[in-house]
Amino acid sequence: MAVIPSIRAALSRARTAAWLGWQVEGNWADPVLFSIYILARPLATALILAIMYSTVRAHGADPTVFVGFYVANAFHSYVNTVLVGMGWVVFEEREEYETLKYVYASPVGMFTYLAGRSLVKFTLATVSVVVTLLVGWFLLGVRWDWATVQWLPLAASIAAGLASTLFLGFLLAGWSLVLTRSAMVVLEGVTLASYLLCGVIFPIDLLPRPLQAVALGLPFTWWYEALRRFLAGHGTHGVMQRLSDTQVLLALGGASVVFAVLARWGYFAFERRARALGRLDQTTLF
Amino acid sequence: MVSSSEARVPAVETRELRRVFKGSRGSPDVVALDGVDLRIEHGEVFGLLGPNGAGKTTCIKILNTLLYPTSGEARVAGHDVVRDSVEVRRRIALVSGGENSGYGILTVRECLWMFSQFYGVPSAEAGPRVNRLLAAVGLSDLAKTRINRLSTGQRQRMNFARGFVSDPEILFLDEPTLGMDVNAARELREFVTRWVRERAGRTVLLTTHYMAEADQLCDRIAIIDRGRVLACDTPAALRRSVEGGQHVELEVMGAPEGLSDVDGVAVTWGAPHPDRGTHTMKLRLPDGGRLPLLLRTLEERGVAVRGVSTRETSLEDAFIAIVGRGLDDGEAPK
Repeated sequence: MAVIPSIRAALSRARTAAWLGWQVEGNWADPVLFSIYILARPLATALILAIMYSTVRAHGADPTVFVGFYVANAFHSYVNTVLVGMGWVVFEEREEYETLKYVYASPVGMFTYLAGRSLVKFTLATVSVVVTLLVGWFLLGVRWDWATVQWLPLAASIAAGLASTLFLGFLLAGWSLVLTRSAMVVLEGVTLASYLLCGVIFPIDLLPRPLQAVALGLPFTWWYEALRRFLAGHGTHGVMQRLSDTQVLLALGGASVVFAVLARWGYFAFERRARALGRLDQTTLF
Repeated sequence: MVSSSEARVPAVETRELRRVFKGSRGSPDVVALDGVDLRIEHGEVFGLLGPNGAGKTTCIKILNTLLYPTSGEARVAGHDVVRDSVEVRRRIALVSGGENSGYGILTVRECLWMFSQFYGVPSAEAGPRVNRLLAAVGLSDLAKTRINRLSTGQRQRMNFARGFVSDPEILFLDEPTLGMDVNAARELREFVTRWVRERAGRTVLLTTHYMAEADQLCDRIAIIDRGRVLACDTPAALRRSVEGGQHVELEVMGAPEGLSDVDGVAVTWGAPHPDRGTHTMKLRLPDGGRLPLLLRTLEERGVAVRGVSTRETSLEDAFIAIVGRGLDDGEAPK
């Protein structure tokens, strides 16, 4: 069968791309400096969150709410690092390294290449999530009851959330193929928008109605809700509260599948557009 | 090696290939390729020769699956570049000269090894091949040097080596020696000649605007201008196509204003000689017998001739005759 050698070849190429990812991401000759780089942002966000909620708590806010939002904020590192990072891969390779056209015209396949490059980003994001949760647990009182953790739904929701992150990363990478220098603004915008829209640090009920509808269509909104319920033991108040755990899990699964299909279709549509416009080797910034 | 069945289809074939870039902000559309027909056989070193903006790089980009054609058809090793990009990419490699690309954080060896892995070269072959290529481009001593510490010329040599690391069936060299020093360019040309000679069926499509490079390397040359192929033949045949005259260069004192022809023979002027204060007049005489007459006419006009030389027809002469202007000249009058 030709399938197995093809899979083996794709895995080998993805491994090489992952190796390149490590060289690029870990290009901080000083390990201490590198550690600070990958931890500073999530920890800073977590501390700001802690300060905000300590202020709110003084006015009678439910302390369990903080735990839920802290967990979501920790896991949002995947979106910041992987999803947006995959867009950055395209942007940097085309604009700074000027290597995108050589990678694209090689047999590596952009999907395989981007998947390989995302592997290191997933690893770094995982380190960031774990450290943020540890800091929360030991320093900020972010605790949950291990006995009530629903391990199987939690594992399923993490798998769905990570898959969604990867697929939406493909979509954003595809979009970056088409964008020129404006990619920088778009990528930063996606980071910010996802933070505000997906109920990371406040319930989506606080959003205007049209944005609530958008939020409910995004898999990350359901992922963070699932994490709160299955790990921290408390969901958010408001619109989400009316749904059962199963419904949340189904909504997450459904949104993930829809976005996986959409992202795959969207990536190739963007790639075709970039090839039609001649953007694959166009440098506009550096 | 190329199989016999693959050898029957041309290495590269384009039919009525056309590419139009939409003009932005009210500017007119740009026709980069305007119905290009090419047929390049396996084992050929084929040159696309043309001035800047002729459409050479656009053609290379389409063949390398980086750009869609607006219309027409392009096939590489029998595979359509639009419908069957994946199969095309398995068989090709691209080197673009004059650019500074590369992952600065990798060493030279790491970069070449990485691309060998993208092309699926087995590890046991990749190492020795990378070593051979590094030696061939004179970068063995810099194998462990980070790319961001290389000079521009060294980076160009590394990128040149990258093109060969997969031992591709069809290699596209887009202005590969652009900006290189004379010695490095000569060494790389020799390497390409050796590489093709030692590997039966390997094909090279070279774009260049260096006449000597095209003349030295190419089995056949297509002269392209404003997106159209104006002539396609061997360098010798292209030269023969404009023979029938004698190329004369005269070193003269004083360049009379407005002297653009002598006895109906068009004159082009070379740059003034800085020390002797002379100018070089270039003419092509329909027959050698007219030279004494021409010298007499110049004498009558008060032009002092200090030296006379005649030479064979060059590819440049053929190019000027076919295109209507030199490679580095501006647009020809319409």
